[in-house]
Amino acid sequence: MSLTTLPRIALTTERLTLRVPEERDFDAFAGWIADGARSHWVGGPGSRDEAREGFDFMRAHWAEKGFGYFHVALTATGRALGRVGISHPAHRAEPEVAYALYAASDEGQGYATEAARAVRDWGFGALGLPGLVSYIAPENLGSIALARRLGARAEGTTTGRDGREQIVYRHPRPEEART
Amino acid sequence: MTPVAPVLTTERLTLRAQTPSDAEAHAAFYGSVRSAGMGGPLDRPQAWRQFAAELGHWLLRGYGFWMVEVTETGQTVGQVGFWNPDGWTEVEIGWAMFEGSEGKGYAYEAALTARAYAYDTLGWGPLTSVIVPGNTRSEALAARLGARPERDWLSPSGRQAVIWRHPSKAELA
Repeated sequence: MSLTTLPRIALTTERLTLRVPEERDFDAFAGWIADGARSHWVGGPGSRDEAREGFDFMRAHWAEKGFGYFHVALTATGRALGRVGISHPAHRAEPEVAYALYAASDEGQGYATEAARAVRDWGFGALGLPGLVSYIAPENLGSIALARRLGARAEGTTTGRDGREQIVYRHPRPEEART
Repeated sequence: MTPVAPVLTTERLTLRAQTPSDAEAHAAFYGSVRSAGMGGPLDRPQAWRQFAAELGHWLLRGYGFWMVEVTETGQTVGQVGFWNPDGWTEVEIGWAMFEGSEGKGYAYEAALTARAYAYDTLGWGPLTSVIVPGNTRSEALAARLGARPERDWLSPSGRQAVIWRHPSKAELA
């Protein structure tokens, strides 16, 4: 699979459309990376060039593994909300359910939870992944709350690529999940 | 509990999960002789049970049959997807085109994309297709997709079928 012929896969939920990132989604992504208040959990703020690197990496991840981050948009309007998906870069022990909303004004609507739940169910149900975790910085209380809402529980810590400690939240398998 | 069926799009088509409003077109297909290769014809109550089984398949397996829609018009032209109920030999890729929708390459286009999803995203090995001998349109499509007859097989319901084997991801590369 080459970068130019990524699959056109989408997951749809009640309010959201999650699809493989396309070039037209780059501006929203770069806007998020530029906003350090929103992107510092992923090493931001970053320049447009740095955003380009991250964006290309997301697309390359799809090309290599057949899954990855989805661009999340509000179905009714098409407005970009964030990126949510299953990420498994080489430095991680296990595939991760990862999520980020681009704007603070979109918090509190349950969008990230709705998207992350769909991604988790797809990862277990269709991809047949044996396990899914989320790696979260201890001070990232919003992400921790979301992981807990999905039924994930902390099972230990690991060290991120930046050398900082992260908590490993393990997601329940579908037969254990009630959310 | 909602099935997470991904939506796949091709140049002309959208592959999406069943919704309740598809039951009518589904029953019409299964009520006709066109469904002979899929275990039909079925009367309406039987067709409804088949429809429910297709939806349940998504929940139980995480994959299943999509409805195939022409993106531009929204017209539902058939079904393509994966089938692996209890007692099946292994997961197969199958297709069914509704009345009047053959000869446009829709099934081929949808099957190519579904197969790529299986190989690239789900990480599956070479797929099979279970085809009732003499279903020449289906055999022709399997051959066009590069599949070859592998062995005879008796389905759980006692139907004689031939298992076709698709090329692997490596063979397609």
